[in-house]
Amino acid sequence: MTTTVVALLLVGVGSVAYRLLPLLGAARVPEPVSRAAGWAGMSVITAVVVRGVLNHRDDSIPWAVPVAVLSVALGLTLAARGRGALVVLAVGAGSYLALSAVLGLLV
Amino acid sequence: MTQVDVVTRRNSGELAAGAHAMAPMLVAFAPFGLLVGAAVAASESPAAAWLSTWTIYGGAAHLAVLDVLQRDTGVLGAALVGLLINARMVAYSVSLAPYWRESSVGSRVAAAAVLTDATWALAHNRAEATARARRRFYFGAGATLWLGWPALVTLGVVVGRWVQDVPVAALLPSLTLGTLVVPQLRTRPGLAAGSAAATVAVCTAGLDGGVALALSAAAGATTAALVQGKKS
Repeated sequence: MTTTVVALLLVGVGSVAYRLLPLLGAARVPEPVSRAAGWAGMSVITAVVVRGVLNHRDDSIPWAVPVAVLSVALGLTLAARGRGALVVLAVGAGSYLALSAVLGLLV
Repeated sequence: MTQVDVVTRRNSGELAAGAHAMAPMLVAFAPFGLLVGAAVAASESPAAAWLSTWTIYGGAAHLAVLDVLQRDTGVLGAALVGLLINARMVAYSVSLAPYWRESSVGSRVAAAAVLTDATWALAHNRAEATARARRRFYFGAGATLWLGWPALVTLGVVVGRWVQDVPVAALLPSLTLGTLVVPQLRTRPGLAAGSAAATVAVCTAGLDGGVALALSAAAGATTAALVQGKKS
């Protein structure tokens, strides 16, 4: 129990420091560094998306990862065309369920 | 209508716009929040794990720390995993800095408290707004998630287990975060950053999350800087 509390405390304090310190020193952050950090942040979110899809697990269907890739790609194509988050979610999740059902019938 | 009324209405309009933009994200994050809640309930110290929702304030790091602790890897191993995954917050915070230079320390502390992926990305996509409008928007979005996310985690403590049996739920965060990245890909540096980060993410899919994310961030930022340099 002590291990859990100490570990959570360390991560919590560290996470608060990550967020707080650059903002407290905002006046000293040069514009190019801020711009590069923006690209780094966008890159991290891109990587989270890619990893979330590639590490997707679903034991109930074959080819779970390709199905996830197709579904997310379809949803994000709609996002690129300006559709809202809820439409993207509905189409992405709906296509995953539809493809899973088709695969369930075929295999 | 007086000038004060106009300014007040505009300010509350930006706050509401932020809350409105975050609402669908909150729906999308619901399964993830419930999963984190299930992990909190299964923790050795559910109270400490629940209270960490506000300090860690990142589902992936929170889930990873609780998962590592279940495997008896020790304090430092678990803390390192969580800190590596949440290291992206430094990039978010640094990129926000120019818009908060004129703000009070209290505002900046509040901004830091609500900072996470979705809040940052929504504000980042509002590049055309003034710094003041952007801060208002940021607070509207941030406060919505800051209240909504712990509510989802708390709900997950009670009913989170069932989400683990619904595989499509695990895809929702990817779809949601993807919608935040797509607008950034319309610029050449943004497209370069996204392509480089995605390539590195594919190559490092088998690696630990924190290290892989750091590598993607470095690749994306470097490529975007090179493209920007060529352009100018």
